[in-house]
Amino acid sequence: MSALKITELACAYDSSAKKSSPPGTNIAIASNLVLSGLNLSIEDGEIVCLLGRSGCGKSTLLKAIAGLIQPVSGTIELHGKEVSSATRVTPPEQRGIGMIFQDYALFPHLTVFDNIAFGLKKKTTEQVKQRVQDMLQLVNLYGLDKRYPHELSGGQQQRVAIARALANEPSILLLDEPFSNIDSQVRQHLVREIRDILKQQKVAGLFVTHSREEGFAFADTIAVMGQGRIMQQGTAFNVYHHPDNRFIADFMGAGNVLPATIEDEFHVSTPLGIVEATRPLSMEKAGNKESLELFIRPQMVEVSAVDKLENSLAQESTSTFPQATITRQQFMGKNIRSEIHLDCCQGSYQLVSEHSNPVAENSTVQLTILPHDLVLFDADGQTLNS
Amino acid sequence: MNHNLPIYWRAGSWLLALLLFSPVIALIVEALAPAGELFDHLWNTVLTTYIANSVLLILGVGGLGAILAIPAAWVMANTRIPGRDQLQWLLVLPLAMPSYVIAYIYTDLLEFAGPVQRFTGWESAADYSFPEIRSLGGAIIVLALVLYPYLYLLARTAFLEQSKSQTLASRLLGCSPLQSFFRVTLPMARPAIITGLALMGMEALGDFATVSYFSVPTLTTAVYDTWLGYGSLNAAAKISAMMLLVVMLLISTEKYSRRKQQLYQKNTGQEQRELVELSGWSKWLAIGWCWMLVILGFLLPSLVLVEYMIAYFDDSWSSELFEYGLNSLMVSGSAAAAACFIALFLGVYQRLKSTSFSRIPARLASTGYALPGNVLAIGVLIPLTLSDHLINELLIHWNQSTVGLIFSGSIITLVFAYVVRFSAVAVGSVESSLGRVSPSLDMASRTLGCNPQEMVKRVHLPLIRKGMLAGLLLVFIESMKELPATLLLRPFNFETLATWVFQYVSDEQLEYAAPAALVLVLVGLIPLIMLNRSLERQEQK
Repeated sequence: MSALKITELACAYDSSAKKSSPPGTNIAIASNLVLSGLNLSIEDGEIVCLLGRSGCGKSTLLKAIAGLIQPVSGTIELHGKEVSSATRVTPPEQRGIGMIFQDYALFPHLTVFDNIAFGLKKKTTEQVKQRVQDMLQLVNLYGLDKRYPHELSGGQQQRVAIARALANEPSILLLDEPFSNIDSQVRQHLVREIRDILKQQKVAGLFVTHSREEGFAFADTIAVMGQGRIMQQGTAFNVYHHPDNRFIADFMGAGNVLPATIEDEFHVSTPLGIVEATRPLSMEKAGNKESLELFIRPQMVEVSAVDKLENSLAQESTSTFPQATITRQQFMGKNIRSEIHLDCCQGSYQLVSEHSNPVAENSTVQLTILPHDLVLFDADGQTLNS
Repeated sequence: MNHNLPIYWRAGSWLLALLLFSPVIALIVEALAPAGELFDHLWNTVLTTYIANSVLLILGVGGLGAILAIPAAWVMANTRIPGRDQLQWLLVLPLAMPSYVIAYIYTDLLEFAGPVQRFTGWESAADYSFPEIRSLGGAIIVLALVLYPYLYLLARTAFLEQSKSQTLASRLLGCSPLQSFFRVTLPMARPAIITGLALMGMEALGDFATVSYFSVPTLTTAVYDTWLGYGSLNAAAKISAMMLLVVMLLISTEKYSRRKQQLYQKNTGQEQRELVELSGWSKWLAIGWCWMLVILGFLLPSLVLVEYMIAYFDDSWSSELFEYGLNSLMVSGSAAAAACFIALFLGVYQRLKSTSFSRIPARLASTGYALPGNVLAIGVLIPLTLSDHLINELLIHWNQSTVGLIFSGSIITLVFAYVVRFSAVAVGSVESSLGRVSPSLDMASRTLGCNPQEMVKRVHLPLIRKGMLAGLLLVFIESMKELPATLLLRPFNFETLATWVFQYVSDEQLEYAAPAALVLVLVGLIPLIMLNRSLERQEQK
């Protein structure tokens, strides 16, 4: 059973907008919708990361799931139980959801102990004590129960917030940019630690962020949001390397776009030369489509210094790609990111490459586009692969 | 976020707000009614003089206040002079001094038979050429002396917020320090200065005690005469409505001056303030100016009061002092408690129903603060006398004996008037402390299983307790000091400390009420101390 299932959800910017229109007439206020036709499902124990630009409605979606705002239409189910529909909305306190906030939202007038015990009802004092201690142990804060929130570091406060949310054994944990106020040195560690805690407690999680790296590290699957709906949901690898459309491709990271025509199952011709595919292209889909675009991640564009090439000219003479100039470089740590400029093949091209071999700025290089699992988009920006 | 509140909460908020707003409505309705004979008569004879006096008073107090306050504010914000730390808060203290007490004391000192004139050596009435203090000019001086701290506080804050680099830039562009002050510093502080002037103007317009003591007829005294003298509510309402117009004019001037506030407040914040070290004559001028204000506005009158108290202790330390003190305590305490309850009710409503619609009740409930005390009193009287008459007529209709005036002329009226006038203080206090509670705390408590009422009880109330206490205290103090509305609304023979002191001032016998006057001064000091603390905390940040 899914921990969370959302069907055709629509939400307005302002919750008061709903009052002005009876259910079913949401087309009339469509311009006011921040979410529309949104579908999402999360399996038990799965951690999903909601990625999207700021203002795309990520936080609105979390609030709708928690019951803090009222959707215009659509349904939300938690463990098969409908909590939000056009006719009935369960108040947040009856949903059994845990929520983690950017500013931690700890109650400043309560100690760590009282914060964690805040939601524990129908339990004896002894049971409450036991549960709080268990939670403190879980988040590695044993012994800090008498402190007040302001006496803790940011990371510690966030762990108290996790403990408080988990103490109630929620069916799903919603995390709204939980790491954005944490120092970057501590962040990586905390992300891993909290992921382990969720996995250990077998709690499903929905995590909102605008940082791809955090999403990759924290989640099992990534759901990319745009235009008020979930555009693609899948593993980070899949979303990165097989984006469903241009929007997702661009959002997941930089890329190069070249006009392309399919030659055969394994070859695509571009103005810069023929690019090889490692997986057969679906010919029937591409057959009737003229203006295609080839989307190439920077890692697939290789550059090598030309003088080196001359030494080993004999073995590399097969390269079909032209030479180019490096216009700008940036050291990324593991790789070097270079911007390349070419004037050839009836045009002028700017490409981005990520490579590990050092090449001097402003030098001439030999360009190679490595054979890989090609990503082709049609004129509407939709993928041909699926 | 929008939480579901029970219907009684929503309806109650609107009812309370409308109740607190009803005096304004009543006043306008009554003022628009056809004019009676009395008003026509006044209009044709003396009213224009009254209006002129009121306008001159506002302009005079504003002008003199600016001359007194702005230099002091600049000195405090920008220079290091000996005693700066003490002067900073001493300069605010005159605000605690009731203007009529100052008026009395200076009249006593400067009059014909006073010590100053005897010292300057006149021998017969023919030598007497000292300007008359009991005049419009005298009222302006007295009111400016107690009201300048409004302008001082706002201007000082504005000067402190200004970035040093702007003055520096003007100096590098060829301005002398004085030119730089008039071309850069002063214009940048203009919105704050106008706000300060508007506040002073509203206080001056609403002042009754000083002008009455000095026998300067203004719109305020006219309201008293028409109601207490002629018993014409209609004429009183019409004159009150005129005062309301002046208030609205002052408020809109203030709003207009702030329309570009963002433009003026563009400081980068994180910079160390460098205080100028004054030397030579400028240093002594600055010190002398600031101390003059403190001495004339606070120290000297306080000393005189203490001297009165000691000299007349046996006569003034009477049972009346305690009786009237208790009266004050009771009405002010009830008003403070009621205002706080209302503030909490409205504040929570606004917080939990965060729509633009739900902000209206708190705003409606806060309008009373802008009304001068006597205008408010007339506004309160209209609906209450109306309901008194209605009740009695109904009783007659049902052949019952009449019950007399239940509301008007009772303590309830007085408390209601205080609540209308000062709820804004409590509402503001509750609003600002609720505003500091992060909205995510609401969401957290809801997802942790609290319904809206539990959330208010377990999260909001503990977090805004301090703000509510501050509101309670401020309303209490303001009610304690309130004079004009109390004079108009108090039940027969009911005295508060303020009316009692004023009575003795009018009877030229303040000496006998010195302890009560000192109590009023001391009570008035409390909010100033609180204000100074919070300002200092702000500056440290």
